[in-house]
Amino acid sequence: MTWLTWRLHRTEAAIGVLLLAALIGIMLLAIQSVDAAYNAARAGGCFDNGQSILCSERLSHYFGRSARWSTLTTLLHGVPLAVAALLAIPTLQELERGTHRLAWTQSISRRRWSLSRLDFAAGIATLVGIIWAVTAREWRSSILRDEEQLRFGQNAFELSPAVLMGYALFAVALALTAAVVVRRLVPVLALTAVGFIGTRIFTTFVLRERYAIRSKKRFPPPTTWARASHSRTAGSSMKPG
Amino acid sequence: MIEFHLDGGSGVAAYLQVVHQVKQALRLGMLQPGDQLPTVRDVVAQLAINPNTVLKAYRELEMEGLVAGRQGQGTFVLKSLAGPALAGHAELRAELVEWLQRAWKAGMDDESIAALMATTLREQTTARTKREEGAA
Amino acid sequence: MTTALETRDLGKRYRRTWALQHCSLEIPAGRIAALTGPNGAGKSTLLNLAVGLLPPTAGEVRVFGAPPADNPAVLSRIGFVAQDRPLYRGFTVAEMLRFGAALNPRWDDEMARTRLGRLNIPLGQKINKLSGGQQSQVALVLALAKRPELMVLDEPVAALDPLARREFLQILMDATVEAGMTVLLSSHLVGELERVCDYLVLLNAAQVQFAGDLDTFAEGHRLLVGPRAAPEEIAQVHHVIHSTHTDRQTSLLVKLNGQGYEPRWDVRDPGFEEIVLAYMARRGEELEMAR
Repeated sequence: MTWLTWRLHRTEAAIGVLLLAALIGIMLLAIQSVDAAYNAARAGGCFDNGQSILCSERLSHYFGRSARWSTLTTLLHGVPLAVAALLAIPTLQELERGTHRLAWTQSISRRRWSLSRLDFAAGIATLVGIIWAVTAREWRSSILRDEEQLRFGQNAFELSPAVLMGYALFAVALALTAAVVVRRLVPVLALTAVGFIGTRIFTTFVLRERYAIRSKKRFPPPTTWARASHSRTAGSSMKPG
Repeated sequence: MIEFHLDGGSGVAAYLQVVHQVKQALRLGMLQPGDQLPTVRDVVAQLAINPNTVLKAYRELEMEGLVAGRQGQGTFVLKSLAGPALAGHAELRAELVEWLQRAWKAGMDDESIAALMATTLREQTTARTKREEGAA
Repeated sequence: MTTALETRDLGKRYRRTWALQHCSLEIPAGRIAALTGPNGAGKSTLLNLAVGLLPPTAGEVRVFGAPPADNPAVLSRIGFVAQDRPLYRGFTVAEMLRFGAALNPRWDDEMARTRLGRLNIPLGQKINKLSGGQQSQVALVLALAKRPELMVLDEPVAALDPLARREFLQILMDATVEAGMTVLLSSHLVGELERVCDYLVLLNAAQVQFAGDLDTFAEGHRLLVGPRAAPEEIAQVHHVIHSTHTDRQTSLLVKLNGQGYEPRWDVRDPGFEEIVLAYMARRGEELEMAR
């Protein structure tokens, strides 16, 4: 059964690994390039009180690179969608070509058949979620390089490990449900994309706003608290973009 | 060993066709006592027909005393139908050919010859049956 | 005699239309049963119910005494070749065998390999590189290697050319003798059915028209041809299966009930195919009359 599940997902898995490797590769390059600019600026003491022409050059170099690469963050949000699509395709093909009729008339319960598929999907989603969370952490600490942002910025929540995993699992569940109900490749992918992005927009801009207002009333403003407890505050005023 | 051929459009039941073909092979000496008939599985695999059809034909032949099934071995021929009929075959055939030449010369076409043969055969068979019944 | 497949008042409804209704039949073990009927008569629905792919809306279906739906114990005793013989296209033949072996406890790998070898189907070949006939053969061998006691085939030869059709039925018949299994196959190739099958189930308009021995099916049927007349008169005595009329002439296919019909009818014995077609051609009011 494990062999069968793997065999059915093999091609998509290969594509996924390639895509993920390419994404991580680009990010590592970006991180290196930004880190180099950052280190050059810091070595000249530019973050403390550097007013020299050299410093302003180095700083603008750093900010420029950082800003350019930070647009890649958007790409990170698309990872769960890609994982979901790649995981849903074999199931879709199964339903479209009717091979489920072959599978369901072997000596096996549908529950076992479905569970083996779901286990695999959940496993992959979790694995990619972990890799993705680690990468995202590196990404933020390097490209955004912002302790305050690290903890309290919008991306701080969106890119935290638990949330990333949650999003990945949610996208996979959405795609598989759509696959079972609609059973056609293009509509399923479209539905998943619309559903996933719609949910993200809804939670980010509608739900979170409501909860955020309430918490503001109860706690002191986060910026003050962050300044008081963190030494590397310099970066907070220099966040890119 | 013989092979069977089925004519789907003949209207004759498939099992009867098998029976006729075995008898024909017995008459022509293609099957001798002791010879084995093709196994049910062989016939079925060759003709793609229902196994019960073959079983039914073989049962019919068994009832007529022509063959016998041996447990686990197959079905074997007991009796030949060739005998004297086959011995006189060539001579009778030569006479028939001679008769045919005469019929053609008399201006008969093939269809009339076949019709004459069929009606005469039917008449004579009925007459013989009656004679035999009268004798009994 | 044991019963391989049994349905009792079985029905299946899709939204508001009944695809199958009031279906009660028993297929004795060891028979080769044909399921036939016009398109949309409910053949596929009945077969899908029999192999547990569909849940019944009404009544019940039992295979060797137990409902087959989602029941691995029963499913292991059923071989199924679905319509269009679905196979994993990207798999090799060997991988299809591995699939079968992984999912079936009674899997006979040696038999599958022997049969494929005899058919000259290379194990390393991808499924989508095989011809249609070979794909059907692979699908059949996969179902046979389960060592089923009941083999269910949905239109297995419809898409095949005459030679491939013959080869397919040869394998099926050979395996039937070897394994002594019960077969239920749907088809609308009536001529082929008479050769291969010994039990007949005739469906029309979601209902069973006939279920029984193929030998007895043709019994008592006559084709009556005469001057134009209303069929009601003769329907009082005999069972009119189907009637056609021209402006002068009436042809009736009837099942005799008792004896005697008026001498003005010209009487003929219809062939198997003719009778099956008459049952298939029945439409609304004739079906109503029959009820």
